[in-house]
Parts: sequence; C-alpha cells; structure tokens
Amino acid sequence: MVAATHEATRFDRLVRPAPDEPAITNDDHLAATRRADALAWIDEHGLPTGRDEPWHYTPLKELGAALGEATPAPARQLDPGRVDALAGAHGGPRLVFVNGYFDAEHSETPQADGVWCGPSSQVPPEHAALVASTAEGELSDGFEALNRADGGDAAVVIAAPGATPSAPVQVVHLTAPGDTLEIAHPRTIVCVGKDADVAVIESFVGQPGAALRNTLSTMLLGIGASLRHHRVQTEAGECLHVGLTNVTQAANSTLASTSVMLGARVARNAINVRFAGTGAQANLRGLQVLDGRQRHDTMITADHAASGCRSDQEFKSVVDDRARSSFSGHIIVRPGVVDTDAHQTNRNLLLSPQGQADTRPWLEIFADDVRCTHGATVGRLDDEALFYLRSRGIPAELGRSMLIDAFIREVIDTVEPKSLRDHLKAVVAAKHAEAPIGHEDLHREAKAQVQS
Amino acid sequence: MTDLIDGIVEREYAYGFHSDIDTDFSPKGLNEDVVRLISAKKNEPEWLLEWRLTALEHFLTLEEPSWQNVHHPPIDFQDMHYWAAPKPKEDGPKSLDEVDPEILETFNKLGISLGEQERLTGVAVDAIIDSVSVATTFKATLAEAGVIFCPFSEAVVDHPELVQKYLGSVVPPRDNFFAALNSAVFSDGSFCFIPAGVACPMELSTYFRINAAQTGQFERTLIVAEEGASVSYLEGCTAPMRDENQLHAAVVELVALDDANIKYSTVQNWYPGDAEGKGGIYNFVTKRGRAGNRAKISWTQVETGSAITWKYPSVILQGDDSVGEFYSVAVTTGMQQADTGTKMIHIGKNTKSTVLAKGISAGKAQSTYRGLVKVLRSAEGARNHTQCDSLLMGSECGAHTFPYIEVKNDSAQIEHEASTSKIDEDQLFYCRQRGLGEEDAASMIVNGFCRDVFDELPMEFAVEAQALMRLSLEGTVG
Amino acid sequence: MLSITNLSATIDGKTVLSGFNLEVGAGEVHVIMGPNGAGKSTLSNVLTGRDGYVLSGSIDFDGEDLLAMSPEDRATAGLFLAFQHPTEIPGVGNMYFLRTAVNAVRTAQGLPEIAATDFLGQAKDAMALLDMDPAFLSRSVNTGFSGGEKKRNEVLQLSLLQPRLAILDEIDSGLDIDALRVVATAVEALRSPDRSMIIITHHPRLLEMVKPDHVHVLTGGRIVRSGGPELATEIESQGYASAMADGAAAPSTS
Repeated sequence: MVAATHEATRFDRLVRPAPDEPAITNDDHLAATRRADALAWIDEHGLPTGRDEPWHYTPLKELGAALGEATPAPARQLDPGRVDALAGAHGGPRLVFVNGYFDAEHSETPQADGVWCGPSSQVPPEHAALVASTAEGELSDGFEALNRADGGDAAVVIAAPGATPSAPVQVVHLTAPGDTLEIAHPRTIVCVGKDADVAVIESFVGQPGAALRNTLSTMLLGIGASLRHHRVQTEAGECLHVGLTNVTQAANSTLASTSVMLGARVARNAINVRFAGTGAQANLRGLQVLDGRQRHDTMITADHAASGCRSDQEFKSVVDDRARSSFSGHIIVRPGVVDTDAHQTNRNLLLSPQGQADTRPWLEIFADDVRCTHGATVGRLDDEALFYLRSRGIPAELGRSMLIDAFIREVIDTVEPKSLRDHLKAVVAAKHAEAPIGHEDLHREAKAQVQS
Repeated sequence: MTDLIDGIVEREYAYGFHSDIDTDFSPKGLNEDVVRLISAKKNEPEWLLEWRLTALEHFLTLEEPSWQNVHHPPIDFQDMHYWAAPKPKEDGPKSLDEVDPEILETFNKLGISLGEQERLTGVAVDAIIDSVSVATTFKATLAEAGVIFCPFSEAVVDHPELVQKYLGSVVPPRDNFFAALNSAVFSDGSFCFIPAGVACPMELSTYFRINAAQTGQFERTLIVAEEGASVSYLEGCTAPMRDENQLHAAVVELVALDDANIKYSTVQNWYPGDAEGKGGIYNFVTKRGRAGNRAKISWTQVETGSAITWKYPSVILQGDDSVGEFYSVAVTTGMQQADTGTKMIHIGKNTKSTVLAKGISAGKAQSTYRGLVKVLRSAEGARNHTQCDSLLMGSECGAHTFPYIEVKNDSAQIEHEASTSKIDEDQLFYCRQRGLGEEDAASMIVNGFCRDVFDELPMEFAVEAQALMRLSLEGTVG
Repeated sequence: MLSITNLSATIDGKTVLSGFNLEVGAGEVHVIMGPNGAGKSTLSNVLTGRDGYVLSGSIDFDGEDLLAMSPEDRATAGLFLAFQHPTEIPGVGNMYFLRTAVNAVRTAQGLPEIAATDFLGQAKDAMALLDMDPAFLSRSVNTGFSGGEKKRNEVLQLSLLQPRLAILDEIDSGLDIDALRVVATAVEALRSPDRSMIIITHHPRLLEMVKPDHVHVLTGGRIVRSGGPELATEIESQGYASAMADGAAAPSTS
C-alpha cells in the first residue's frame, strides 16, 4: 500500500500528527507507511462493536464517547518522587514514559546482565530487526490499529540469549492528565532470547484527572525462554483504559503472567497468548477489584497452535458498590494439535446488591487429544465461613474483610518481588479504606428497584 | 483408527425410507397468499390469520442470524413448500380405521404403533406427517381426566379461547428470525392442556415425520399446565434420506402456572445427511417455558440427528421458588453440526436451575454448547449449577463451549464447570482387558458418560436413546 | 451460668425443639445424648446464634439475654462451640485466624491484644498437648484437614480461647481411639470450677474419659430424662427406646 502520509482519515486526530517534513531517511519513511497503513485499516474495519464477541461486555459506548472528545496528549514534566509513589520502587532498570513520551530524567537504564532496555528510538542497530519483527504482525482490532498509527516511542526490553538478570525490569507508563480529555497510546515491546529468564513489571499509573489510555504490549519468548510478567493498572479513578498484550511463545518457553486491575473507571485488559512452538507453558493469573461505578473487562485468550502446551488461567473479581465486572476466557485448540492441557477458572465475589458480574468461559476445541476444563463461580461471601469466624468472637465487619482479603490474597501472594506485592497490598487496602463495607442504602435501593 | 472413523460412511440411517403418500402442496415460496392459504386450509378464525400476517410482515424485515457456530449455504426461503399434507381421502380420518394404511405403515416402520390396543404402555401419541397431525390416540381416556391433547389445528377450532390466551405468550412472534417464520406459516403440532390440580394420567407423546420433498416443517406445540397440574411429554422425530437440505423450524411453548410441573423429553433423530454432508435436516427450533411460583420445567433432550441443530430449550423462572432443568446429550458424527444449549433466566426469588449438557463429537462433526444463565436483580437467592462435558472421538472433530453468565444479585450462587477430553484410553483398555470388543467398550463408556442425562428420560425413551446413540457412533471408535 | 427455659425452635416450618429446659451451673459438665434428628445440632446452632430459626422461650447466660446477642458477642462473652463439621475457609491462615479470635475475646474482656510472637509460643504449647504439627498454623483454616485434624483444631481453639461455657458437638465423631484419647485428655485438662461444658454425643466412649456430672436424653425436641453418669451406661447397654420408656417424662433441672 502506498503511504498516504498527509491524507486525513476519520481517526488521525486521535494520534500524534504526522511529521510536517517529508520523510528523509528510510526509517522515517517506514514509520510513515506504518502510520498510514494502520489508519487505513481502522478506516476500513472501524472500531469494535458489541457484535464483536471479544468486545461483548466492554463498555464501548463510554469508550466511544471518550474517543469523540479526546485529543492527543502532549509530553509533560513530572514532579520528582511521583514515580516511586505511584508505581513503587523495585530495584533494577526502570523505563518511565509520561503520556507515551520517554522520560529520560526519571528512567534508569543500566545496560547490564544481558538486558538492553530503553526507548525504541534508541534501539541499537543489531536489535532493530528483532524489535521490528516483534512489533509488527496482523492487526486484530481498531484500538490496536490506533496505537500502532500513533507510532510513539515504545518501551523496549531485550534479554540476550541465556541472560538471567537478578532484578526485574520496570516499565512505567504514567498518565499526566491535562485540563481536557487526552488520549495516549503507550507501547511496550519485550523480546526474551533463547533460554533467558527475565521479569518485567509493567505499571500503568497516573496522577489524578481524566484521561484515555490505549496500550499495546507485544512480547516474544524465544525457545526455552522464561518471562515473569506483571501488569499492574492503578490509574486514577476518572481514567479510561484499553489494554492489549500479545504474547507469542516459542517451543519450551514459560510465561508467568499476573494482571492486577484496580484503577480507572472503565478498563479493559486483553491478553492473547499464542503458542507457536511445542512444549510451551503459560500461567495466567489476574485480579480485578472494583467499586463505585467502575467497569472492568478482562479478555484472556490461550491459543494452542502447537502441541504439548499447557495453559492455566485463574482470574478473580471483587465487585462492590455499583461496579460491574466482566471476564471472558478463551481457550482455542487448533486442528491437528495434540497433547494439550488447558485450564481456566474465574471466581467472582459480589459484595453489593447493586454490583454485577458477568463471566464467559469459552472453549473452542478442534482436536481430540486434549484435557481442558473451565469453571466459573459467582456469589457473595460464604455465610458458613463468616458464621464460623463470628462464633469465635470476630466481629462481622472484621470477618468480612478477612474473607475478602483471603480471596484477593490468592492472587496477590504470588506477586514477586516483595516490594511490588507490598505496594499492591497497600493500594488494595487504601481502596477498601475509602469504601466502607455494608450497603444498607444500596440494599434499600435494590429493593425499591425490584418493587417498582 | 482412520478405517474405523471411515466406517461412519457406512452407517445406515434406519429411518431413511420415503413413503409414497399422496401429498397436497402449497406453491413454493413465502408470501401473504401462502399464509392466507394455510390459514384457509385450516379454517382458522380471523384473529389467527391476522396474527400470522403480522408475524410475516415482521419476518420479511429480518435478516437470518449468523452468530451461531454453524456453517451452511444460504437458505432460499422462497424455494420451498410451506404446506404439505397427506391428501385426505375424504374429510380426514374420524378414527384410526380411516387413516391411510400407508401412513399407518409409515409409523409402524418407525416403531410407533398408532393402534391403541397394541400399545404396551399407556402413552398417548399424536403423529404428525409433514405439516399435519394424522392421528391422536387415547383421546377419550385423557378427556375423562379433563386433559386436552389434540392437533394444534383442532385446538384452534375447539378451544379458541385457550389458544388465543397462551399462543405466543412465551415465544412471541417477534422473538427471533425462525420464531417469526414459524408464527407466519406454522402448520400443525400438538396442543396439551392439563387443568388445575390434574396429574396427567399417562405420558403424552408426539412423533414428527417429514416425508415430502422440498418441504419445510413448521410445527407449533403449546403445553399449558394450570395450577398444580403435572405432565410428562415426549417428542420423537425422523425424516427420509434425501440429498437436499430440509428446514425444520418449530416453536414449542410451555406454560407452567403456579405449582405446575412439566417434563418435556425429546429424542431427535432427523436425517443427518450422508457422510459427505449432503442432505439432512436443518433443525432450527425455539423452545421455551415459563414457570410460575413453585413451578418446575424440565427439558431433557437426546439429539442425534439433523445436519445442523440450533436450539436452546430455555426456562423463564418468573415465579418465586420455581425450578428449571436442562439435561442434554448431543451426538454429532460425520459432517453434523450442533449448536445447542439453554437459557435460564432467573427473575423470581429462590429460583433454582440445573444444567447438565453432554456433547459427543466424532468424525468431522462440530458440537457447540451455548448457554446463558442470567440472574436479574429481583432474583434474590437464585442458584444455578451448570456442568457441560464434551467427549471427542477422532482428531478431526471439534467441541466448543460458550457459556454466558450474567449476575446482578449478590445473593445468587452460580457455579459453572466444563471439561473437554477424548475418550479415556485407560477406561477403554480396562474394558478390553476384561474381554469387551473395542466398540462395545466405547459404547459402554459413552453410555456411562451420558448416564446422568439418560436417567432423566422416561424409561421407554431411555432404551431408545441408548440404542440410537450406539447406532450413531457405530464405527467411530479406534 | 446457663439457663434455658421453655425453648422452642422452628426452621422452614418444622419444629425441632419444643419445651426445652436446661440448667447448667458453673463448673458442671453436662452430656446430651439422643437419637438422630432429636434436635442436638439445632441446640448448638441456637446457642451460638445461627440464622434461620424462629425461636421462643429464653436463654439466660450469666444474667444476659443470650438470644439478643450476635454470634460474635456470644463468643466474646465466653460461649464456645466446637463444631461438628468445622468450616473450611480457604485463604485465611490458621495462625492469623486464631490470633484475631483470641484478641477479639481479650478486647471484650478489657485486656490488651496479645503480640504475634507471644501468641505463637502459646499456640505451639497448646498444639504440643494435642499432638498437632505446628505446620497447621500456616495452613488455611480447616482447609484440606482430615476429619481428625479438624476436631483437634477445634479443641486447640477451645484451649486458646478459654471460654466459660464450651459446647462440644460430637467432638468424638470420626476419631480413632488414639485421637479420641488425646482430645479427651485435653478436654479433661480444661475442666475448672468456673468453666462449664455441654457435650453432645452419640457415643458413651468419650464419657469414660471425661466424666460428666449430668446426663440428659434429648428426643422429640426436649429433654425426656436426666440422670447421672449411670444413665449413659444404661443407654449404651439398652438403647434409647428402653431408656426413654423407663424414664418418666421428667424434664431436667439440675
């Protein structure tokens, strides 16, 4: 397709403007082509609608309204200390992006232990081809196309073959809102070389204020590689967040992924794991804790395109107040694939009579040599357990929070390193502190609604 | 293994004969004239004609849905007959003696005797060929208990007030594409009415048979159980082998008033098409029940036939303490496709639903469970337990599970479990080590897999279902 | 200490207790025996404040109206139930649970909360007496415990919470003879002049190890016969039917 650099499309106002100067270097030219191609794709296919099954439960109306008024976010300066406060400090290298712009001042990028990390604009020539091939690939939906059309600097983490750095690499995508609603398209690219073992913490955090974030993370695991990925989203309560993580795993690679969604009024977290080589494993966990009028949507896909792979999905939601949580978990086993183990559970805890939990565990199996299971539950706190606690003298309120904690901790306790685990515990605790349990008012309202 | 799977090709459809019955057709195509013709043939009152025409008008504005996980060439709704009936000798049979012997022979071949004295058990049968009910047995016995069991068209004439009150009350004409089509052109079906407090003295049963070529079958069944009444209803279906696809778009409505109990069992064995997927019935059916306070509606289905099955027997749990159940075995072999499941809509307090779905795929078949469990804000204390298991036999088939669970009440307890696996090699080996042949072993294991569903079937049907399944799976094991 | 007067309890329209009377004095050990369905479990449910029962009559616990109290208030006031079927609570650590419960009781008594390290020492001592592996402290409450382990965990809580009235609901069921001896020894050790116990049981074997002061036969929702330890022996040899036939319907007062 010919790059139509200056040709306006319906969506180009949502991404950074194309450079005024005509492309000079080959790289610039390529970037312009990608931008135009992505915009053309979205012009043709449009944004997702509720008829697109993966977006069935996503609050697209609210996202659509936000897209209608948003303008591209500019780079902004940060107050010192903000990054630690919002994302925690976990040792090791740290890449900080503010509104999708690389913030060199707050970043620490020692190139050691076989790990290169930095903004994509500074990727050394020897890694350029690897980064480009990881970043490209077929577009799956309009939001991904928008992100790629934006073409801003991506956070890049490359682990050389055999590298086993001791400290995690932290990628912080920080939102610094403006006076009006702004959109940014943060991007992360992670390449883990053969037999390398690396931990990446992706933190999506923000200062107070409304903003729209459309993120894309692309990860490639080489043969025998191991990636421990934490995706933590604690953006401000007025924010809207659409997140997509695409992981491709080569043979015998191992992914351990933990997603924690606490922030943003409207948030989506989509993770697609594709097994491209045999004997790979993915262990995907997640937690979303919602209150107020939050709407969180998780969409997980484990695509078994190779034999002998194992995937486990374990996701939990805690829903309070008038919040609404949704989960879609999708297991696909492609024709001809043998020896597949794929499991999935989704458990939802409803704490309020006005909350809602939707869950959709899917199995799509085109081969017979499989052991696949899924399970889903929705319910409130276990009355029996609460009674047992109370019969031992523990007050009802305390008993409830002990049980909620226990539910949440099954996910949080797996988080490494401890600094991140403690940070998340503190964020969850703060969230509960501002939302007292007990819903007499909501109960009354629910009753009135039913009666009317 | 491949040889054995190929064995499916040789599987005989036992009910694939065609009877040479003189048949009366409407012209091909769908329009107002055809609807008027159908209505006139049946001497329908004006309100029912209007009802049909409104449905037709709505239908013509709709597009065929495409969300189902099934694939077929587009259906030309103008290229089929919407009315086909065995030509009456005179005015229609007054008693079994007057029924066309060819028709009686047809049902005898199906193993259904319409002669009351020959029946071993007390099952009242309504037999329907193509669009028309040809015989209903045990009418008099039922009438003594106050139970009405007759062809739908007869009910329209004899009990218009009941039909008008309940027709479309559970599945309105605008409900979906095929329900709208059925509402416009439905031909016949069964009507059952069990008055308050009456436990129907025998099982009621309808056998459906598509005979004529290039014909759609659109029957309509309405079962009303008044307060405290109970009934068990069975349905069986077969069709001749033809290399064209034929459409079957039925609507079944169940009304269970307070404390009523309706048990609806189906053994569906429409012609599934040949091994290459040529021919076979498109079975696109809307089945739904509405349960009042403390009422119970239970669907049990064994689906072995049809090229494509698309149906979701559902329960609207409107009354407090009402109960909905769905027990299903869906067997797909060869090129068959099934997209089936249920919807349980919890509205009343302390409503309970149970879903147990077993899918078996063999050959190149694709089987999908699709279900919705919805708990509305009003459904305090709702409970659901869903279990769907799929068994895969052969590497080219598929099994898919798409449950939707939507919960708006925090006191609800919803549990969903599902599993997909191939037939257990260890179990097979164990049986074979004890001397069972491979097919016998597989058949035994598959029957065990479906046991909990078969147990829900009335005795007579359970035996038939097991035999049917064995036949369906012949040659699929390796 | 405990005075139950004319108690009746109905659940889902079914009356389970009716005209039930019982007086338990300080330091006394009472045994309630009875056939299945006699109302034994209902009695422990009602005493601990489980929802769902329609009640009449009164229960006085050291001058307080027990029926007006929440389950946790009853517990902190010194009433303890060793559950027949202890509830599994995944995710809540046993140690954390025990300390929270002990501190709830201490707080109610106006005592300072106990520090984690001090508590750990106490808990380990108590566990040694019950022949329990300290590893139980780091597991979730009752989760994945065998039947015997659950019962020991109940008695462990009994010894840590030091209640004034302990109700042991079939604490002996599912225990082999060695485990029964360990549990009985621990229970016997907890007897004191200011601690009362109600032991609900089917089996007299426990009573050979924990000698009761009073034995009552509960059937049809009320106590039909009361006596000393010899009544338990009589029931074992002759069965409930005979024991009840002999006993004039003499409601218990002690």
